Amino acid sequence: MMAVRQGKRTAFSIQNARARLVGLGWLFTLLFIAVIGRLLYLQTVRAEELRLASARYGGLRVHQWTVYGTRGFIKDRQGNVLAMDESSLSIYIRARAVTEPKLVAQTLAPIVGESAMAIEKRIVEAQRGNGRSAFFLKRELVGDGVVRLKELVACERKRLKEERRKNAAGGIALTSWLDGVDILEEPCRRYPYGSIAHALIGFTDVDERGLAGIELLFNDILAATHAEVRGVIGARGQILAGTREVLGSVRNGRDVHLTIDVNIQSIAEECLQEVMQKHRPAGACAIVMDARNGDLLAVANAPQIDLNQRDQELRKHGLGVMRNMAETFLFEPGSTFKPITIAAAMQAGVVRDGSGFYCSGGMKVGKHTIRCAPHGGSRAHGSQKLKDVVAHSCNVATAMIGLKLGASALYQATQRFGFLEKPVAGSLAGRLEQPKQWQAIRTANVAFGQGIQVTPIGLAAAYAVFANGGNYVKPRLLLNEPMVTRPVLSPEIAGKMREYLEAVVDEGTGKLARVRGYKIAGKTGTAQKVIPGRRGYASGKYIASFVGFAPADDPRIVALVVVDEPHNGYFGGVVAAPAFAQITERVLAYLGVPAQPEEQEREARLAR
Amino acid sequence: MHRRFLRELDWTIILVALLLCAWGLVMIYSARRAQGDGLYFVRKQAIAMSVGIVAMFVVASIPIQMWQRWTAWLYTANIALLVYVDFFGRTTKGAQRWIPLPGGFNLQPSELAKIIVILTLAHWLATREERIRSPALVVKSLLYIGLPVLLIFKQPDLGTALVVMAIWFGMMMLGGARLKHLGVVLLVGAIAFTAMWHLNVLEDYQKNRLVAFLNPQRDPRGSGYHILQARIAVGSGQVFGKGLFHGTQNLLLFIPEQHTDFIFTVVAEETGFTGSVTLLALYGVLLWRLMRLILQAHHFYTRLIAAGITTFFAYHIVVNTGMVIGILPVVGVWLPFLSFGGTAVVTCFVALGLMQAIHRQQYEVMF
Repeated sequence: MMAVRQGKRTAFSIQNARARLVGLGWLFTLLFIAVIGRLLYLQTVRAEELRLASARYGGLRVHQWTVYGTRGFIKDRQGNVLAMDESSLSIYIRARAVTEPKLVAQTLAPIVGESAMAIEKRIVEAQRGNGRSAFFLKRELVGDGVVRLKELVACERKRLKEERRKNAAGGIALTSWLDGVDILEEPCRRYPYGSIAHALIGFTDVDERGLAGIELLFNDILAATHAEVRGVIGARGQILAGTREVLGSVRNGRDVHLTIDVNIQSIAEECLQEVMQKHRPAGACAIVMDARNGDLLAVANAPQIDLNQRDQELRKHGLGVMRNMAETFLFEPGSTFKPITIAAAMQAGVVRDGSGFYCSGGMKVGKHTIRCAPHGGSRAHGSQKLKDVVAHSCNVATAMIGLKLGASALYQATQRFGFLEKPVAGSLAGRLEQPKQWQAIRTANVAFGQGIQVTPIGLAAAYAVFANGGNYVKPRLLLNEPMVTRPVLSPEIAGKMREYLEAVVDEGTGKLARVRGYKIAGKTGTAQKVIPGRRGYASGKYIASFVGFAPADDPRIVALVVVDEPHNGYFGGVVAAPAFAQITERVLAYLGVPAQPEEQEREARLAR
Repeated sequence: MHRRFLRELDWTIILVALLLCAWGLVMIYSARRAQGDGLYFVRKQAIAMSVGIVAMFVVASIPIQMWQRWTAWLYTANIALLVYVDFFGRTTKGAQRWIPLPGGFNLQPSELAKIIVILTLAHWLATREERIRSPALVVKSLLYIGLPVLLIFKQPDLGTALVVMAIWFGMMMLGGARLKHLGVVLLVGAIAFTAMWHLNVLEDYQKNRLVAFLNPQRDPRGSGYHILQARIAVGSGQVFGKGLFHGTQNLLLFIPEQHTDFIFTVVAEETGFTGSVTLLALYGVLLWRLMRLILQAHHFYTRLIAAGITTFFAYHIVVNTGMVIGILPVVGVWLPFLSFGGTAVVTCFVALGLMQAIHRQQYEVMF
């Protein structure tokens, strides 16, 4: 009833309204169809393209970066840092994302130290798909460049921020030289002492993996573990909650404490430098060892390079310069081996302190003849005591002693003295084949140090046996290594050997090894160089060596100098002994070993 | 509640609204999960929904003609709130739209204004029913809503101002105004808009949005950003979607306002074409039921209210989905029941309450 009345009053009838409503209904329907049509278009026809866009823009726009642990430091026995980690910057170019190649090149050229042209060309080429599309423009940027680069970046970020604020509404797409340029902070290795102990310490690659020396040998201790952090980056550059993922864990590497003493090391290196200048050898090395506990105080090699300039230096000198000659140089020791034979013979009871020998300058062993080196116009040493055999470095007498001792006893002595084992990590063991099919001549040769190969460090360790009363002490390179010793000689025989070796310096071949105020014991060695891979010796190529200890009656240090292919003289007593003397003198002074008054008096007497 | 009251309600509408609400809560959670505050937004929205549902029943229980008596009050309150918000409101994203309420809620008077304009304009027109075909009345009706529209426009909130204009259009159209007059108004509106464009009455961002709509590639990181990212989100959803909570565009926060105006991108990306069409079907059912009620409205006044509310929902649904998928320019219009926003949800339920009251009227006649 009411409805009817209402209808009458309405000028615009319900029927008209219905018609319009139907029209409106159709309009909505059409709009709905348009929406659905558009959805269908986007979600089927363009679905693949947009799905890819979704993945590209973000979808899974995962950003990954590294959180670095610090690689362990290498320190000397005093705690001086020989190798450390430093923070550096690297410039990484993602060429495709670079919008202003010219600007990038111009901005970075002075920092990188390349020409702007070259950098631009590299980027443009990369953009065209030649070469890698992303590359490091520079790694391990340190020092000045870091400050300048940081300033440039900060400056550009500020500019962008201001431009963006100005153009907030205008929406002009901004470009910057920072587009596609990532500045990454990475640790890099630094060697505060530069060239000191270069071959011993070694180096790492740019990713701080040890490549040589201690860096390689103790990489497991030194290496830090890095964590890769991954996160999905949102539109505002934020890491989205719940997408942060840490792969691996950050652990700093542990430090390596060496037994090396930087001061002693640099003494040894300075002295080697002199040898290098005077004799222009292919190489030289020196070792200083604590006679009592086997601590290696200096392991020096020449020539040297500055580890901080690794790349340039290696390009110039070649990889060979990194060889740790002191630990890996295999050479025929020659005369320096004689005391080993003699001590072994004494220990075996084959000879005694008072035994006498006669040298006619030569001796036939089977078909071969053994000769002594000519001295003062003659090769013959004549009648001599054991002490003289050592002092004069008589080949004939040593061969006799060796033959008396016998092949297998001689071989065992070589073993007992540690020549055939690796004294420290990274070193080589000496070489001597089993004595089973040794002829007499072989035994005789080995007795005076031919046909056996040893390393400098092996030789130094063997001499420590004489120095410390008959015990072999395994050389130590790490402070926390336990001391390993074994008796080799009786203390009496060791004492006798010290006496003989003192005579070498006092009156024998090693006079140039004398150090004022101290009793010095040692032995010269002059060996012909073996042609690698062939029988026989290279003519005119020698290895001069001197190994000894001081003070002779209460030895503190064992020192050794080996010079490979010296010029201007080749005798161990001439080339190596002076360097030994210099090293010993300075090291004893550094260690504060008091000069011996009675020795000074004796010297004074001798001088008169 | 009285049994009869419950029987008199259109339960289809209520069911559809509740389904949409539930869907909305899930989508809001998904849209905000990347920021880790999904549950906070869901809780807030759920509270607003509860308030809205209660409001719907209360409004439904009020006889629809009662509102006629309160017209003057409503109109005054509307203006007062809009003026208040213009002066003391909370500013967010460059617009003063909110009045803070206790408990972290905000009142958005421009949302309530939509309903109030419907109620007041309906009464105003109902008292001038016989003159509706005269051009003078068309002009006067524009003046009548002019004040609230200007206040909303000034916030600035172009989207809502346009909603109110659309409501006016729908009410005039179904109220019986001459199509010729309405056509002239549209034409004048277009001219006025062009003039405003050149006289810099529009805010820069409003202009940019329009320009960007016409060519989103022009500045993919700036104004075209919403549009392009939304398109990528929608398209990458493909036919069946990436799966609930597996959308990535939302994860990356590439789409600002995704839990509010751009919630449809989450639907499209995560449930694909299938889900989007299902959602549109739900809206279709809602609009169909509302349009039915326009014809069931026995009074001119109630028919105008029904027409206004239906236009209100239809406009919101079509314009929101249209802008999200890139067939309409981006104007801030939310998606009913899905978009986050307390006042909006309460407004929607109040509107449904009014429609329920209209629905209940048909039973009056029977008794």
